[in-house]
Amino acid sequence: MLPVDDLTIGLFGIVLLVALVLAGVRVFVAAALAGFVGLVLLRGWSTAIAIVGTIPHSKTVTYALSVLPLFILIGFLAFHAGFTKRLFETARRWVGWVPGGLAVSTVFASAGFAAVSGASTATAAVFSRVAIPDMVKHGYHRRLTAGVVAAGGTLASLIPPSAILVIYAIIVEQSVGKLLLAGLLPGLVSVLIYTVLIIGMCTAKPQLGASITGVSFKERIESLPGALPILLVVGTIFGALYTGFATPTEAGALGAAIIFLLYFGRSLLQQSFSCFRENMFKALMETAKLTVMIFTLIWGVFIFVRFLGYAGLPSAFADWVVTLNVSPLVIMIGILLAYAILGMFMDAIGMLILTLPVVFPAVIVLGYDPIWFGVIVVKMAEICLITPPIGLNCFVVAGVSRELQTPSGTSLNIPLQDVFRGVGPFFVADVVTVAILLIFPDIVLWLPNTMADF
Amino acid sequence: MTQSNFDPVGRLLSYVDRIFRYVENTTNVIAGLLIFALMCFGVVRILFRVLDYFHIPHPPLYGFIDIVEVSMVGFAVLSIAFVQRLGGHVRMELILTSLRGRWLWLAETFGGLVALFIVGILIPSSFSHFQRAFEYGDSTMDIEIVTWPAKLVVPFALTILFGRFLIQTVGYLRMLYQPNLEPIAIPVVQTLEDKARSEAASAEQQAR
Amino acid sequence: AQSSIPIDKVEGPKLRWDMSLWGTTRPGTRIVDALSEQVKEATDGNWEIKLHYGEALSKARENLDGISIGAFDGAMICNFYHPKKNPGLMVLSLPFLPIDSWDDHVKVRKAAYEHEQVKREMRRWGARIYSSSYLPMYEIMGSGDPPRAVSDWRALSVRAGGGIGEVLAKIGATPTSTTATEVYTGVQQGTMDAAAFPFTYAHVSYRIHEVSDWFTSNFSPGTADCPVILSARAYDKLPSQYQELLETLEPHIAEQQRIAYENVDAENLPMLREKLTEIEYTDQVINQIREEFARPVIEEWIEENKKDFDARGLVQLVFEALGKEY
Ligand code: NA
Ligand code: NA
Repeated sequence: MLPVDDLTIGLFGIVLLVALVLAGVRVFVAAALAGFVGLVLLRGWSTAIAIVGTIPHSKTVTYALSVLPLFILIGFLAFHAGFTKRLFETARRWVGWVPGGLAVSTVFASAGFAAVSGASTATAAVFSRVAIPDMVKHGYHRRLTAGVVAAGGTLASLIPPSAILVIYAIIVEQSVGKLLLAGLLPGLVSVLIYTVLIIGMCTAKPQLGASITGVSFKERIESLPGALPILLVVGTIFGALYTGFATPTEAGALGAAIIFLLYFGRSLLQQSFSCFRENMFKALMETAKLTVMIFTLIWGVFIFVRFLGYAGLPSAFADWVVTLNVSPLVIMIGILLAYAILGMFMDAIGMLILTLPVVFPAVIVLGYDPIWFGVIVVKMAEICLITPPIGLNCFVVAGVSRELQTPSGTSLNIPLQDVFRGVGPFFVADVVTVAILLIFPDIVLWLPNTMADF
Repeated sequence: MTQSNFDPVGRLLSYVDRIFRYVENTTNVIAGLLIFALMCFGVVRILFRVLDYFHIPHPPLYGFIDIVEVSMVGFAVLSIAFVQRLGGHVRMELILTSLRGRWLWLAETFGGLVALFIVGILIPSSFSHFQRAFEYGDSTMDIEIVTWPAKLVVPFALTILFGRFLIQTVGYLRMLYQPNLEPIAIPVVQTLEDKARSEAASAEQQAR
Repeated sequence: AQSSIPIDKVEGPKLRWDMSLWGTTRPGTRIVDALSEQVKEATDGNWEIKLHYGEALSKARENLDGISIGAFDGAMICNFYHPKKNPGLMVLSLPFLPIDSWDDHVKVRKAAYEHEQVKREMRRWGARIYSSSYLPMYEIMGSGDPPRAVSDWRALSVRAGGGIGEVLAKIGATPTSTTATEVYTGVQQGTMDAAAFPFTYAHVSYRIHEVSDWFTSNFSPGTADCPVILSARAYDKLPSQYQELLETLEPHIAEQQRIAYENVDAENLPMLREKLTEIEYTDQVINQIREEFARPVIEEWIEENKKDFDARGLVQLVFEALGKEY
């Protein structure tokens, strides 16, 4: 053996991993390589070779992970079936009357779409198309318009189904069902806080955005069927998980099948069959693509995690954190800040998979609830999507706006800095949300604790 | 700019690239169909559970978990090269997006060589994982499905991935050698604005 | 909390072993916890057997692979996690083996481990069996009307695998398969009526009793085997005094395993008896089930395996160890 101890080798592995990731090497390659080099140092060349080859199969072929492609499929199906535009129309007719009504509608519709989509950037892209032109037409301030769309997109990862919460559950070996349920209330709290914020801003400065009036009750009722598919899927998944009637995989299958059948039925009525086939194919191909991408990330990183296990690093880090002479809350805030910084530069799923194996044991030793931490971490990852310098949702909104037109026919073009300024208030609202969840952890834990057990 | 008469590497690349494209597309279609099958299978299981609830007899569905686990490799690993062709595997492009010309191609070549090394190790290693299952025996728990076919998918998929990385690395080396050539068989680094634009393009269809 | 065992100190070199385990420490892993503790004590900390719980070193079902490639030096396995990896060891999962006491548990396993086929299949993976964790007999717990007569089983869907499931199917019940953690909701929801688990410890740890009305206490449809295995290569490399230490320790840590199960039962049984209806069958009924339903399943197993090894001989050996004739 080398005259260095396991922990030093562990730290060397982490440095190597960071260097490779910074150099732009694919994360799964970087993690697998760093893990492999570490295993060679710890267990020798031939054993290391033998170990790494078992992981791609054994770490991906796990029943609990089979929920991922189904949740992803739900999102792509709903997207390609065009169920989102109708959702916005329904929200508009029902909540448009409040100050800043269109912005509030955007938040509600985003939350609804969030329920069927795990992907934040996709949600932002969709509502940039759907909501921005309408708000601009009604004279809404550009910054508010851009900000609400970018921020609304972030709701996708908390409100179930959420692929990222499933991934968290698998990595830290918690109940997938519980985590999915735990995300719901915090997601709704975010919706509520956004709503209060918009109403407050638009009441103080009515020129920011007006309310939409003159919608009759009949028109409201008529708009309900448009929201039905998504409400049905939300209700099904939520009910199945909450009562424990179905496993997450089965609930995901049912949710996807509902969207599929509704879309199929609508295509049958409208006799737009070739369009249906084309969109179904697209949804399946995109689902397959995203699925293998996530699974690859998982096994790649697990090669690295296997090495960390041999080096004993996660438990050493946890032991070290406990010896720190500061309160758990301070350490937690430190961890959250670290995530905020990391999130500026990294994709949320990649960030979680990379950091959790080391961070999670420490969080547990500090006495925090694993389900609660999952929701908090995902919320942090979401906040990163709207902060400079790299806030993917903001890029998306700015990018899409360039291709939209104002009523007078010129390009809408909301500059990136205006989008970032527009999300400013929402960023503050998010920080408030995190603080609330820190102070009242029961908002996260109440639902999963009352549900049927897995 | 392009010297098509004088670019044998480029021609060879685009030829091999086309063959791999065909294989990769096929793997992704299989993965998509498997996911669709999983959806149907899950729905059947729920239906049967409803029947159980009302004590209505139905054909047995024993070993659901075994079947799902064995077939998962088809969408978890099989189309890994497809994603690599599109440059879809996650990476941090913070530094890459600021590089231009030869520096960019150098960094990409490095990434490709590193990937070739580790994938080159994973192929024989995952193959011997298959071999153990094949020679010594291995099966799932409940309905005792043999696992070696699923385990064989891993080295198979990784071999396609190796080929794809090889194509891309040669593609990058070609650009490193002559940066003026037209890129062939390599995913181009998207700037963040490009990325936003492609998101916008996919939203376009939604707005129809 | 366990009293230390009077073992002589053993001199020897510094050595670290890694052992691959799943889950967390629990009554069923007392045997490895005790092994690690006692080895450390006897060698004054020179020999450390590091326990890696939570599948940190390998998925439970791939532990034999890990031993085979030298990824670690020891592990626990369960025969039914991978029937085709250890076809001979599956003899211990045959239904309704006449195991009545702790001594029977020990005898039946010793006999199986000594059989050439079991040795051969372990050798194939570069492993040797060190000791069993002596999994208790299974019993069945469920909700609704209790199956007092054999015919009552016809109405029930039961989570049970392998030979136990096949016998129940022959009796007329519907065996189902789910992950162990899904059983609680399954029984609660009524999508399954009952489940077979090692008694009492697994029923209570999966909280099946909270949603059940009855349990069997002498149905004893069978057991399974989850032995501690060692890498043959690592074992051969041990200095002889360390090898001897392992042999000396085995009966002592097995005794600790017995106490661990006994303590769990002492805690659980009165609680179960108070809360649920206890179903006991007469010897006559059990013998009838053995002859009419279990024997055909055992015969089928022999048929399936006889081309690979002397399956009938293995079954006979196991019965002989129990003082019975097959
Ligand atoms: Na979601
Ligand atoms: Na950011």
